Amino acid sequence: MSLFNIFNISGSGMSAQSARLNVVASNLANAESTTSSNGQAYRAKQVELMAIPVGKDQAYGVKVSKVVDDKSPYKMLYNPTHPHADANGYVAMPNVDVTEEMVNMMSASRAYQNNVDTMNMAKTLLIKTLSLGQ
Amino acid sequence: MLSKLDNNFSFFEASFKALSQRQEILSSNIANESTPNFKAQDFDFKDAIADALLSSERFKTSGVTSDNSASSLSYIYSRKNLAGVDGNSVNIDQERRELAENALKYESVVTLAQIDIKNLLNVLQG
Repeated sequence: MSLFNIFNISGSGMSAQSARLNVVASNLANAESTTSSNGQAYRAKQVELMAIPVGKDQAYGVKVSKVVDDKSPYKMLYNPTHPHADANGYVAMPNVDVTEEMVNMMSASRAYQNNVDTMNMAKTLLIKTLSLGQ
Repeated sequence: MLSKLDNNFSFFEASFKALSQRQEILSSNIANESTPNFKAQDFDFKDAIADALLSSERFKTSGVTSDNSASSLSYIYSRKNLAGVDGNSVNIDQERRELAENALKYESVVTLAQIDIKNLLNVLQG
């Protein structure tokens, strides 16, 4: 039954979008973290989404295939009094672009809502079908 | 009389099957709204229902039924949308609209089936 498969598809979409939202939260929280477990400033993370077949009907769900580090360079900030400043007085600040993260956050939450709506629609249709003949 | 009954119900069955498959494909597009290189798909409702009705007709006359489950994939086609920079061709506004429209069609078939069943019950009860 294709309608039941919609729950799997939308469910996968919801978990992928919440993983994306999770990464955005981590990036925003660490926008000022000048050091981390490896001793360097925090690197922004991005999720990679991948389409995976769900069910037999060539319909696709989503999966987070991996979480990758943003390769863009650190923002160098001149602040000689900072404890993590280098010999020239520059501090490596995380390469988190706050504006980009906010856009990402809105996009992820809208996509999540779309999946919720799809799932609700499938539920309504199933209930209508079950009420047939009553 | 009974064959007429069967005719009606096989039409409803084929419609439910095709509409729910289309709903599934549209949901898959919405779930993959932000997946790079994903190409939006659609389900050819017209061909699916025509073939389903044809095969139920053939079943009645010859008793030979075709396997529908294997052929349902052939009704799925890629939309000719322009892809964005990330290679994704899902247009979310279009998908939402088609999803709502398809759900409404499904509900109207449910209503029609309900009316049919009610009429039959009325006849049976006299």
